Amino acid sequence: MEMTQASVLVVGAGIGGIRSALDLGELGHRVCLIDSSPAIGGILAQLDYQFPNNHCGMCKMLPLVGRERASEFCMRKALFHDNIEIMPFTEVKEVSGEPGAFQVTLLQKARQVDVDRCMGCGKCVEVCPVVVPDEFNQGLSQRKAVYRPVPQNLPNTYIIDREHCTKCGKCMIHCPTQAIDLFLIDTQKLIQVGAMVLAGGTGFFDPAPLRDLYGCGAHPNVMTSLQFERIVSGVGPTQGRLLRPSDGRPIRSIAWIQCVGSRNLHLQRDYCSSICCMFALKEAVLAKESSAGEVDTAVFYMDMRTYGKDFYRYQRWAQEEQGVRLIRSRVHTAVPLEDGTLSIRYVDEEGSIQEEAFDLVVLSTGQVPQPNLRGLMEKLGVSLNTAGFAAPQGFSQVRTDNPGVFVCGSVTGLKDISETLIQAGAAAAETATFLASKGVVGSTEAIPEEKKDVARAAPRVGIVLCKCMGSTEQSLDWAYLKGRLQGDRSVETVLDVDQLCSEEVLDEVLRRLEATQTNRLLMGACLPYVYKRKLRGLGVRLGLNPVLVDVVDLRSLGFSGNGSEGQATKEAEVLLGTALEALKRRDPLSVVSVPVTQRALVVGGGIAGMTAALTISQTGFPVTLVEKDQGLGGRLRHIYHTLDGPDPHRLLADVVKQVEDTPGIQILTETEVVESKGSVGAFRTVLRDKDGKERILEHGVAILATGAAAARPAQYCYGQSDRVFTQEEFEELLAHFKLPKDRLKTVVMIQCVGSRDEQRPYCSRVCCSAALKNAFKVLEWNKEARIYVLYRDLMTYGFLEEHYTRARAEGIRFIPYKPERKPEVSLEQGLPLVRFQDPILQREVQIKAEALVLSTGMVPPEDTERLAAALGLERNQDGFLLEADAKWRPVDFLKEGVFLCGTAHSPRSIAESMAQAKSAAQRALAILRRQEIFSARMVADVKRSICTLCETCVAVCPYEARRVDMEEGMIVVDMAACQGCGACAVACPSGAAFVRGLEDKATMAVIEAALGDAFAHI
Amino acid sequence: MLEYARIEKKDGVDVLEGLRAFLASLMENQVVEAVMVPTRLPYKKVIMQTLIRDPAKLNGVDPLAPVVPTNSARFAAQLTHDETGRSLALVMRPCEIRPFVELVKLKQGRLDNVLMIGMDCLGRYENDDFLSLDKGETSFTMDFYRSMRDGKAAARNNADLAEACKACEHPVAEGVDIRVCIFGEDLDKGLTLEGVTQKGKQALSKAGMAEGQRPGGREQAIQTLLRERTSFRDAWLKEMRERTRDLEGLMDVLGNCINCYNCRVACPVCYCRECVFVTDTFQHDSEQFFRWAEKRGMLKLPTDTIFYHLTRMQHMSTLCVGCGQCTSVCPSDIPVSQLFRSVAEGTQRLFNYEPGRDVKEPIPLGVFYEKEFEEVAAGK
Repeated sequence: MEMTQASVLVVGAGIGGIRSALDLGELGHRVCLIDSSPAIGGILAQLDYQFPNNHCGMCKMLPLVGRERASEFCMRKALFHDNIEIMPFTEVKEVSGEPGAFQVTLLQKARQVDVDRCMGCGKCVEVCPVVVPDEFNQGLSQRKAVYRPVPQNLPNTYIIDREHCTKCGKCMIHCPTQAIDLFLIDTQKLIQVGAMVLAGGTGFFDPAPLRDLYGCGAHPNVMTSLQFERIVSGVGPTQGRLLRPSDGRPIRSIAWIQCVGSRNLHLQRDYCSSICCMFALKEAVLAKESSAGEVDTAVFYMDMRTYGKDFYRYQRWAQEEQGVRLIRSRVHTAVPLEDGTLSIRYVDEEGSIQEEAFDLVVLSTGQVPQPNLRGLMEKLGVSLNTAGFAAPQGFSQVRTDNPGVFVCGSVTGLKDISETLIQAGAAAAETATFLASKGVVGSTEAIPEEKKDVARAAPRVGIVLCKCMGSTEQSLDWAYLKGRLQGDRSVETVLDVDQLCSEEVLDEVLRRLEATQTNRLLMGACLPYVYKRKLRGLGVRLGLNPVLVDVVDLRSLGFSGNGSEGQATKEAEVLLGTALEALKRRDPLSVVSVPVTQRALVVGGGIAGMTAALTISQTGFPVTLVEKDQGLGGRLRHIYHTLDGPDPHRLLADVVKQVEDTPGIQILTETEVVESKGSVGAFRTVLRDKDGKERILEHGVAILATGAAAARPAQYCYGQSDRVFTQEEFEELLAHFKLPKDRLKTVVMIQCVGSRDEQRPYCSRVCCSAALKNAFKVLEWNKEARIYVLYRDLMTYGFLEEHYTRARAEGIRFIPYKPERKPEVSLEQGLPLVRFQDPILQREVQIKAEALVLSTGMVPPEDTERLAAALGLERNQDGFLLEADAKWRPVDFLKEGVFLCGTAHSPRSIAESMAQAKSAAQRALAILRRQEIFSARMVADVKRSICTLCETCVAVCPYEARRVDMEEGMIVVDMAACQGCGACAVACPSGAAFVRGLEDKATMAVIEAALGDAFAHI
Repeated sequence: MLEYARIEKKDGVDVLEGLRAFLASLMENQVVEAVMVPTRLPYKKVIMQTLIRDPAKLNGVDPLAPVVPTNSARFAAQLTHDETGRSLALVMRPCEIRPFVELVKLKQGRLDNVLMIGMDCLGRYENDDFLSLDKGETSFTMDFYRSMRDGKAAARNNADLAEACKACEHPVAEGVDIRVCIFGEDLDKGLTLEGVTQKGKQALSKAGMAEGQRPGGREQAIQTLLRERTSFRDAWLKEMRERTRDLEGLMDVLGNCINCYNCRVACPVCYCRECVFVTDTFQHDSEQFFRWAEKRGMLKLPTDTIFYHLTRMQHMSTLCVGCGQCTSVCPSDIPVSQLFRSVAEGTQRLFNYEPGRDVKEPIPLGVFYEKEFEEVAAGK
């Protein structure tokens, strides 16, 4: 068996795997990305709308610096990257070797349909006699045994479902291109890799065992949240219309039942699935939006776990603006009624039983481990947690007990998009560090040399038309097309060939073109998305500048099927004509090189900043770590224990020592950032020390890890008694044994003090865990202690849930309160007297406590506003630093080359901060590792002579790649950050702002060719 | 600090001379270094904008003459574009101030050292009409106001106010430091200067003006005028919309355009240094014309006329203040202003944007709101 080499094998091509692969690819590593399913995208392929704006945004994962190395189009369709080999429908069969040198046997399952031959005509589907439920639509529609697994993929080749195929052979007979072979067998491939990233995702709970309770599987109007996602999809079974599956009548009301298969001890599922609350809120908002607010939506929940950045704000918006009803309850059953509705019986907060009927019931089903996870993990020697998910080690969210194997995303328990991507970046960073320790470093890409300088030569376009194995022979009028093209005086030659994608034909075409004076190349072939790279290779071999080569898709025209005779030829004429007009007017474009100052600036010496600095320096690049305080450690210095075990003070000591012992890290304490200028690769930042002395630091990238501050409460008698503490103060006293037993007989904790209210409408995420850990600490100290936790929603997401369960088992009392009726505190003989409404007793209860502990949450440090202004960054409504995209770019700023991590982003735990720090370091390294970064070729530029400096283009640039240089009196484009989107060119009335290669004159010629008329020039 | 100052006609000194004296006093008291103001030129008795540094040269000043030879917003931008540190009083009409505010937003001018003096505006005649009526004599200015005061029509001797003025709903200058109040005043008796901003009030007192009071009857006069103008405007815009309902209609309106580009030269908010239509983007090869002619059988020359107007409309329609200068300068009698306003009214309403309203209000193209135009955004 042939052995392939790669640096890393990434298992699972959902968004986590893709992110890790892209990150490693950007570090110059060769990556093999496999997925057991025939398509990439994982669960996200089925989710059309994402919080918070109901857009997709997956493409925001694509690299911005050096974007031409990867695909630059919709990632829901496909992905290409120079350093990534994608192998769908492939699984890990065997693993041998050791970390640093794994030999992995991959099983490539046979699609039975030849991707290169299938032209997607669909004749096979027409004749296939087998009908089965379509898993893409979650079983809400049907498909044949030959089918397209993901409707939006490119190439959208069919595949045979071997489980259901009867091998009748009709499809083989009817396939016009002989693409189907039902007798193909799976193949094996051996690959040697240094490390592996496991990103296999999660399974979803099958609610069938709850059939008697909720009618799932028995009643058509009961479905899972993933099924509902397909209902609201425009390409789903109802094209996005909200219709009752039972009778097709419009849906008037929908109920979501939360925690189905999660937080359920009877089902041995003592965990929270983390994302379902936001998922249900989003779906309820979608239902509202698609019905213009008509549909009644109600979410039945236990705790509304909206703990992420801006989640609580979204919850309130959904509730208050969109009218989504949130009902705190325990659902008993959903009973079908005669009119097709389902009656939900539930126990409300007061303990009384209520009933309400809904047209549709959506079950928020949570995570279960992937069925084949255990086997794979055993092969790799990676341990699983009690719930059967991969168990990362200590404070690392991505390390496993195999030093060459890393995990990320939902394989360790369900995650939302941003958490998954943060972990994926962290896994990539850890992988790169591990590979570096084995002497494996990424390669640097070279810019191909152009042999021909054609800038001053008249355009001579060589055109190659491929007949795609005869598939376009009949549908297109070849003689006519060739005649038309040859009639253009800038056309040098027109060649028609068959199978241009084969090496022999390419060689032959190259020989024939070399005999001509061709200086621009146009190819008409099949799916340019897929084959562009291969066909563009012909241009490289001809020595042509890449922008002088284009490929258009003739093949899809042949089987579009609808349209009159000659329609396909007409469309081909337009496609070729427009490409020709653009090509013959285009000048060769070169990349712009921006030298990189290979040093990182990390602002903030807490655990996030130190982790980022270490990650960067471990890969060999110098770091300047700036801390405004006297010493390193940040808030970690005040954290003495954790809920799930690992020792934070040991972590602090270890990391501080490591940082101090690393010669590549320059530590500047009592220093702050004054201002920063420059752009990606070349920043100049002014730093000021405690004596007011300023110095200028030159650096290529910056990471902001400026942390958060503890909020100080102004209520509940805080500051008036030595018996009222913040959670942080309480932890400190407990850790130093400063609280005698008799002061811990009755302890009351109040959650959400100053959080999740009008003033600070966000959740600080860690306070519930902090309350639990301190409550346990009290019990360790005094077994007899009575502990009351007054809370609103207990945020023990993920596997933190088991600690909540344990707390209740140990007798800690949890009493919910409502924001409109907060607890009240007074001092009685120096002791806090807490009064609150008991929801079950429905009367006020008083407790005299020896200790009152207030969970006050985090606030952005005071300095954030000034710092953001100094660096040209933005903040969110709550004052935390604002990332480029809440979901898809959680560690980037819009300003390229600057990244963020830790609690500067939003409140988060130690482990979460460290993962984010590694992720940010990884993004920084992708730039830092290059001595120079190259812009793309098609980037914006400015015609200085006609620019009026109105700065409209600066305002509209979504990448902050333009600025006005006051001294020079000109608009300057940061070529490395420019994505060539053209917003500036649109906004500029005079044409002073333009995109190279897309000048007005050529664009107008293209439009004219497309219209086939001089219409534009009237 | 004066909120209202009075220029009284007495001892044979009329309001025009009173205004000249006020401007002279502004310069003499170092409130401003120079004044930009319409003046009857000494060597040709026409009214033009002038930049005056010497108070002695103020004797021809006539900002009341019912003519705007060309929109002065661009001059204001030219005078304030660079940081000269020089203080300047600008005497302008609302249809000149509003585009100047837009030019300031577009970084083409500054308000830092400007004392903005805005004239109440009863409208203007087209330039050649004014010349035929005025004959170089100052008496026409006062005759005009008298007849307007007496409720007589502006039309006389086949001349009338510009259509743009008849459709203008901005007769009162906003965003100014000092307002020259004409509405509700009898210019044979005097007029009132209103100090609108702190700066304006200070300037009035520094210039040693006599205290006045809010002119009575002003509001009523303005309301009456606005009613007339909006009803004219609505009918005027409706007529154009009906005429240009389809492309044929548009071609009918613009068909005789000769590509002289006068309209963009006259347009106060067309601020490009070089219009894209005179760049090589529109320098077509000879061969090209034949190909176009071949496709349609016939090619109108010049080409790119409707393209030009549509492009300018796309660039300018949110900024168009409806000053009417484009129509005034068109040699082919194309109602450019009527056409542009019929579109601008819609685009400005869509963005809730009124050019010239507030210098702090960002130009619609430069700002992005996530929840904007959801009906046209993807997925809706």
